Amino acid sequence: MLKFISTRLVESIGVLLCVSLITFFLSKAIPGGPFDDEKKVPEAVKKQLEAYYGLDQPGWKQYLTYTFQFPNLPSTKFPNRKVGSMIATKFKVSVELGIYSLAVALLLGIPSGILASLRPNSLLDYIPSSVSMVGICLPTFVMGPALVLIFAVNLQWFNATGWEYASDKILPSLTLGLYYAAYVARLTRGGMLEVLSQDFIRTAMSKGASKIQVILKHALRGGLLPVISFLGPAAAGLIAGSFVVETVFGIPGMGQEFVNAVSNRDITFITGLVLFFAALIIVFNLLVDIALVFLNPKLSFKD
Amino acid sequence: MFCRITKFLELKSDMKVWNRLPLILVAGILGFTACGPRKTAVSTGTENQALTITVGAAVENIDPHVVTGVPEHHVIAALFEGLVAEDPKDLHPVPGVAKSWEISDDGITYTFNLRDDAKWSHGRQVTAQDFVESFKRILTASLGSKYSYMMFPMKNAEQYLNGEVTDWAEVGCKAIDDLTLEITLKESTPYFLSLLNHYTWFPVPIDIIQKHGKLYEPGNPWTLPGNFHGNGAFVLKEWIQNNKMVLAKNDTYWDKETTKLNTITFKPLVKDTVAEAAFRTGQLHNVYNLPQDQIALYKRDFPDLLRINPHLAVYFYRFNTSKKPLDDPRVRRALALSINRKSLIDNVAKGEQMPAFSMVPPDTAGYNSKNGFEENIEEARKLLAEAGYPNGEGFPEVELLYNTNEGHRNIAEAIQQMWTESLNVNIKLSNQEWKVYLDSQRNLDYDISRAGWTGDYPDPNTFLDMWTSWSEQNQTGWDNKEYDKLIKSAAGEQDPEKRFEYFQQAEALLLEEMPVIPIYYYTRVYALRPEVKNWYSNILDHHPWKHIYLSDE
Repeated sequence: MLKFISTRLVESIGVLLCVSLITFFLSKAIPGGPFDDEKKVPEAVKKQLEAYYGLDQPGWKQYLTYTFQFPNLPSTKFPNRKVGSMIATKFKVSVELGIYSLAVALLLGIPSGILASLRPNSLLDYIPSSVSMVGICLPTFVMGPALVLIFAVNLQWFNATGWEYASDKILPSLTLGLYYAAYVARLTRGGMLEVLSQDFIRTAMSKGASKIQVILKHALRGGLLPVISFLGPAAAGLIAGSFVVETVFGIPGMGQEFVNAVSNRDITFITGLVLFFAALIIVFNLLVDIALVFLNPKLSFKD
Repeated sequence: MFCRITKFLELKSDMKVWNRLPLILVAGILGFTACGPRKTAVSTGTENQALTITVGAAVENIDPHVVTGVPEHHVIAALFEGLVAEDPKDLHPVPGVAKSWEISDDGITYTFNLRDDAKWSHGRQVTAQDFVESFKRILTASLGSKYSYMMFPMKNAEQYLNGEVTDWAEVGCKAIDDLTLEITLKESTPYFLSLLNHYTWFPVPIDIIQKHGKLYEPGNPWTLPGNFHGNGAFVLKEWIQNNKMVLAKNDTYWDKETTKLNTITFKPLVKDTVAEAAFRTGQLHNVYNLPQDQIALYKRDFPDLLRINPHLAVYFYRFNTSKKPLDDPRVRRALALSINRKSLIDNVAKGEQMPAFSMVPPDTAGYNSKNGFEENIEEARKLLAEAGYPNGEGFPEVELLYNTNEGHRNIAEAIQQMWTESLNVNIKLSNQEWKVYLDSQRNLDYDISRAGWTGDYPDPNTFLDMWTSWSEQNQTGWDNKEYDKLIKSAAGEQDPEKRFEYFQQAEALLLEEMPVIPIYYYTRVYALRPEVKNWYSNILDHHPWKHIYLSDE
């Protein structure tokens, strides 16, 4: 297993280098720079600013600086902050939102998926399945404002925006969680249906084990495999923040920074964010692969 | 609230337990977190004199020498005070750090007498040297101040920034003693006192800046909470980026008797629709920009919350005069005459904007344009025919560029339709992301381009000097020696009447040639809670914070 992990880590260094190169070239390719403004900046001033952020250096030097020193570089948009500390503050918020939404997704998605798989093509299947279909089709930018309109503006139960009080966290977590819950439910249903039709389940049933026991003890372990593989990238995406949900609810997380940093041409911050997100995805995929081996006896670390 | 939820659950009591599980879960969280009536920033604000507002975007920085934005202006105006301050009603200059001032007869030399009780929030007195050192900081190129050109009316300021003058003593500011500051201008500048209210002219605490980093570099953490000190009516208490910024009353401020608010909380809500929802749930005392499609609703349902004020800004289109067919003034004029501005405002923009037939908004420092033109489709057709395109025949397709934004798109679509219907010309719409759009405009890589301009100071000059051939803001390819001369003459003129006469002539020339067409004068459309008092409407949208208070009456 150690060998497996170390191979994967070596591979991921290559991936990160590619990502950083692509990011660098793309952010250089878009027109407009960090100091271009509606009002023209005096030439002497622009030169000094570029020198301060190393933008007057040759390309390869810029690349090396931005890629390897980004946590200590100042943001070009928010010059009194360092990229590292900006990511840290925002990531804390995004992780919190991500964990709540993940909890909503799993707690709603898995039970309703199991429920749907028990009597396929019955009402018990159709109801959760169609609800989850609606959930997939209803994007967060519809769900979020709808929840705000009903529960905040009309019923006045919650604040419409913010991330200060515990009650502020309910609507955004639901918005993001319900979307993922729909996927989780469909994946669980599919996985469970496949497992439930297999011989060992029939054997267990015929041995007189109770249905609940069979489902929770035997079927679930195999039935959740698709969910687990989905969860790797999904969890990374969830804790890296969601642009839409953060914008709709005014949450100071990381998701909206991906878009803002690009519109600001904040090259140090862009590099930092992309590399951080790439590393996050790599780590989560690795964790999922390890988890899959433990859950699926057909897989092993050998190959 | 918990009770409401439990009732909701009872209604569904025929459902099985596991069906109710999610509901129970939600109810549990709710009951745990939010029992009792919901308290909001507005419901508790008056009692605590705590104002919670949004100023549009997130505040980038609060170093007056580094920032460029309008949101920053609102925050910095609370944290610092310049030589003069503003009257809350009409913004005329009133004593700030300077308790009085004398102006020499030629309008070149200003002598400011500083008050002796003005203090920084760490207790040190604000002296004339503070101002001189601050001016030196913003004019030092390595600081990279993008707005340093606001200092250029001062003698040798531009030359010092560019390195043409290296001896600071040659720049026009001198501390005669601790409490006397003398500023010498390049030429008489009638709007100079109003200019002093721009944050570039504010003093900064040099000792504090040096304690936290380099004086002449932009990335200095002195503006973070804990490090920061200022000389305004408020001090920085808390600043969580993109979340909130809290200012508290400054007890060392010389005029603290006037300050009524205990705290001001700034919320960075970028999307107007989001801010509007927060306003409706009592989280905010204002909506900075009311979304276009909400204006009608507010007019009908909440007229006491809606505010529409004239604003010192103009919405216009630039023409690329270096390219056919827009190099012909007759074509440009034809296009200008065939826009129905009234209908555009009533049906599309909807914010009670004022149709614009000149560049300078009415009553800008007493200047009212005598020029203008009248919408006239018949004449427009005639002009187009004279230019060689009778009934639009042979008129090449031109592109109308705007920066990606729903409001600008709606207006561009309406104008496209007006031009096609009345002149039978072919207009293509194209939108670009903000910085790409700026780049295209600067490189004259467009045919017609949407633009807006907010005055830097209340004077016609800010709307007219940008069309000179040397101005970086021109961006139309238009180059007119006569116009350049008129603007130069106005700059050197002492007599305000003659000066305005030069501006009138220049503007007449501009509207004759039409490298740009004015469309409307902006209004600020926003919502404000009635509890907020001493908030007056004015064209600069400045609201001196120390006068504002909250009251339920």
